[in-house]
Amino acid sequence: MKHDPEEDDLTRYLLGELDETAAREVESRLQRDPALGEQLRVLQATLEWLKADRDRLTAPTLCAAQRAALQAAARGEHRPRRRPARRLFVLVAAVLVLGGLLALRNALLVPPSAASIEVEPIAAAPAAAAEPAPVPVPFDPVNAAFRFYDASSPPSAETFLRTVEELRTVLSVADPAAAQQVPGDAFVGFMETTRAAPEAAPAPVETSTTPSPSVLRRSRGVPETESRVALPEEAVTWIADFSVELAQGAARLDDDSLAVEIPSDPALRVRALLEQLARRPGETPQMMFFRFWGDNGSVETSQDPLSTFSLDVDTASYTLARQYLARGVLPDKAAVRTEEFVNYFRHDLAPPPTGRSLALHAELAASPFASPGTQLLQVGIKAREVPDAERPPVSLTFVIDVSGSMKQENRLGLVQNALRLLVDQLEERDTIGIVTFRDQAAAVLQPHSLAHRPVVRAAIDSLQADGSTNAGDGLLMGYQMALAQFREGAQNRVILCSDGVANTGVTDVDGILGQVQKYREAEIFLHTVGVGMGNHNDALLEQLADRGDGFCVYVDRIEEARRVLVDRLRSTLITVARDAKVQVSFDPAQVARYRLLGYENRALRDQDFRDDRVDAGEVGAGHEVIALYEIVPREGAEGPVATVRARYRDIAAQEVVEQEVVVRAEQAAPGFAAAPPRFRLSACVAEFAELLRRSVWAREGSIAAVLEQAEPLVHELPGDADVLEFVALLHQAERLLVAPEEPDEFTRSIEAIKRNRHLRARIEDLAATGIREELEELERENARLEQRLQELLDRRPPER
Amino acid sequence: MNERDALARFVGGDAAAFDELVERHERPLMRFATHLLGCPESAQDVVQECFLRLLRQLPRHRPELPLSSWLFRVCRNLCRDHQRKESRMEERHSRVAIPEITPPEPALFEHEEAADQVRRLLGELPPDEREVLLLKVHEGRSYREIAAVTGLTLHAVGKHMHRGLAHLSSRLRAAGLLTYDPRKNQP
Repeated sequence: MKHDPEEDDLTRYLLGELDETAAREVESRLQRDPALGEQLRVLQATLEWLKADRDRLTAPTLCAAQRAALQAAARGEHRPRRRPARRLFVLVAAVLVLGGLLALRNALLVPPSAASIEVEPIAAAPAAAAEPAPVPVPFDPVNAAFRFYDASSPPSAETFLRTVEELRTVLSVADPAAAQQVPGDAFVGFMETTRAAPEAAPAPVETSTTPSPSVLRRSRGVPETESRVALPEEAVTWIADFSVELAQGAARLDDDSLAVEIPSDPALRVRALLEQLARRPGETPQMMFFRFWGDNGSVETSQDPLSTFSLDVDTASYTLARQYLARGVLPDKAAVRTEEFVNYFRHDLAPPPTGRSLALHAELAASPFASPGTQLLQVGIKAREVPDAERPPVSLTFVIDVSGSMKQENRLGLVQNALRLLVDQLEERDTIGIVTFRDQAAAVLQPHSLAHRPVVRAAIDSLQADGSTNAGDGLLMGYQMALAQFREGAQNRVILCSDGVANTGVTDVDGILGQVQKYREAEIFLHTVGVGMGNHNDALLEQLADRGDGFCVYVDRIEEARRVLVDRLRSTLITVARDAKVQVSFDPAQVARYRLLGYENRALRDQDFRDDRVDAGEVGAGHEVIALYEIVPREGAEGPVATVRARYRDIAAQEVVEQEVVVRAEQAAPGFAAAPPRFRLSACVAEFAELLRRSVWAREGSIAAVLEQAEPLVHELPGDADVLEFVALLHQAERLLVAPEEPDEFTRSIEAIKRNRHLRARIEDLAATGIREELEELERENARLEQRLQELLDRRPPER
Repeated sequence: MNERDALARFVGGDAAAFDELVERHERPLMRFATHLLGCPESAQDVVQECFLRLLRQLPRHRPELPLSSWLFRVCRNLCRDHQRKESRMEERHSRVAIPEITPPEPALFEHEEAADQVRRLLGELPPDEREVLLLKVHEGRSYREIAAVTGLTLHAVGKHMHRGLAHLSSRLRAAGLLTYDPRKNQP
């Protein structure tokens, strides 16, 4: 830009920085020169934008712990130390791996957090000497994370202290100096204060302590009987972040870990480990594979020719991962669900013929990512479109989280804007009601017809966030409102908008899920809209929607809200098929093995396919659902190789419908490149998800390989911004997804044992004769490996 | 509260006076740092460090500058250090993050999309231009004060200010945002 010093004066003039004479000078120039006037107008408009931005922004503040640290420093008590978080975390992770603590499989189920730690520890207030000595429990980050995270209610002071203590114990072995730095002292002070003045503290909330099944699965005998002294909110957030980061980090270092309690005696530890790696009674090789590596295993068609699963139209996982990647952070691998990634995209499947609700498609082509000879089978389902004129009226009850956490990142603002978009879409025959909840639920808007748009808008505008989260209460009131206004012939829906953190009221997930199911039976379905990142409880929202026969979406920005609530409103609100399931029946003579990509938590028992009482997936108008299989055809396969069946309750026809399509070997596209672009897109997206999951199947894969296939699609599918964005995400992920380090011998041995045991199980099941020798050879090799493992452990430094 | 009094009281041993100083300057500094760094957590670190430096300085603090200008100057320098360190350490942080900021008052600012874009564009300006604009528009500092904070000459402040505004306006125009007034046109 050419620089003209006089132009600076224009800006000075605008900003009131000129003295009287100079200002007059500018004004006379403005009169003479209309172009200058235009320039001024532009600068002024820009300035207005800046001011608007300024006004939009409520200044963030230091966190309470930092302020406390400064106060302490001002009083010359203690100098705040550098935040030890990162180093500490690496160290702890290292200790965990060193100790062979493999209890991290389950950590993968912990919802991710923004993973930042923001607390400067201040030195200890006099340590809680009066406290009963904490029970020495080996530190287990999974449990620690869970105690604070999943239980959702603020941890009690005792629980917290114990965790800090545990952390110190583990660290003191490896690095006594670092152990001194265990953050958390900052909160001891808070807790002392809280305890000293119980009447000043918020009334202790007696929460239900019935843990969710997941908690039960994870916690190992740590009684939660302490009195509930509420921790300050910062403390809770911080603990959650810290624990989750810890668990995630350790999980990253030790990808293929198992839940196992490690005794201190090395010999016992090896035995415990090996026991975990043994085949369990009744366990199929497939189940074993899932237990070992967290992915669907490849199945011998001769052993199990049927693959059955419930449809899943959710897309939250992709949106959430996108949000993470945009911030330069890899999503937690447990939050990556392959099927949700694939289903996020358009597939341009042909709609069903008139009279049918779903169309069933199958396509076949060579897989570019799996080993040679592997083919990719794409099962596609497209639901019929319902034109606006034909859609039944909708009766929506929004249950909106307005707790304090919704203030962060403008979560509530996003929900409000989404609602405003929706209000514009709905018609007079539709109704909307709003319930909000924080520590208590409140009916903000009784159901109103959209004829009263201004009333609805005013209610939306009035929402403000603050307080704690009582999702249970909110849902209950929402359901009551929906029930009171239940309209026959309309689509009655409750829509929960939340970051998913229930920290007061019914915090036990089962309780909430039970409610949801009850109302589902009354034909009031539940959708969930997730917002926010920090403590977004993705798993819970997905479960709720699943139980409520609705959909779970995650909205990370206004475009996504528009996509879900405007572009796909009808798919979202009009269900055309309920309890939709798919069963693929492979011909063992034609297909040696197959593997379903994703749908890990949607698997159904084969015999349930025709059991219409079994709850399965819901499909909305116009929805497209994709499932991908990798199959290994036998040499010279020809003719029908598989039959794909879909079974669902057709809402329009009021009956259960079963459709099928036969897949023939000849159908296979001659090479991947010859497959249709949308097919190739699905393959790329699925591989991307597998890479982000660090799936054992994608170990040989790379983002670069996906990019090679995906980049041409940008030109082949012009006008699809999702494809463009996908490629951008791939680039982003490529920078972040570094190759795992070469595992040490300990890890390699365990891995080898896992593989052998799994192989053994497969061979056992093949139950063929004449393989006895192979089995014995495997046994011998495992014995050697076990011996070696013992030696390796003996050489490690002893631990407490 | 008189700021000079507070300083004097603190040096005289009244620790609570320092809390008042923190209270007074925390938000403007946080706002500034969050904008510069695009990340509230980093901003918290930087602002905390500002106050710590003030503490270390205080017994000897000679008011060559008003306290707030001094704090802004330290804050700016720390932000620059932080960014240099970050870019050295982690290439991945080269992202231009939209700062996570507590939400606006409802209905004050309807179109988040556009607003986020403005903030992103602002974040893309060269640091000198961004700093002077933020100090002027967000913090209401005069050119002279800005010169003291940034160490630039008055002339340079004027140049950067104008260039920043002009750069931003051409970007806003490219993004189609200059055609309406952010306050009046509701979507």
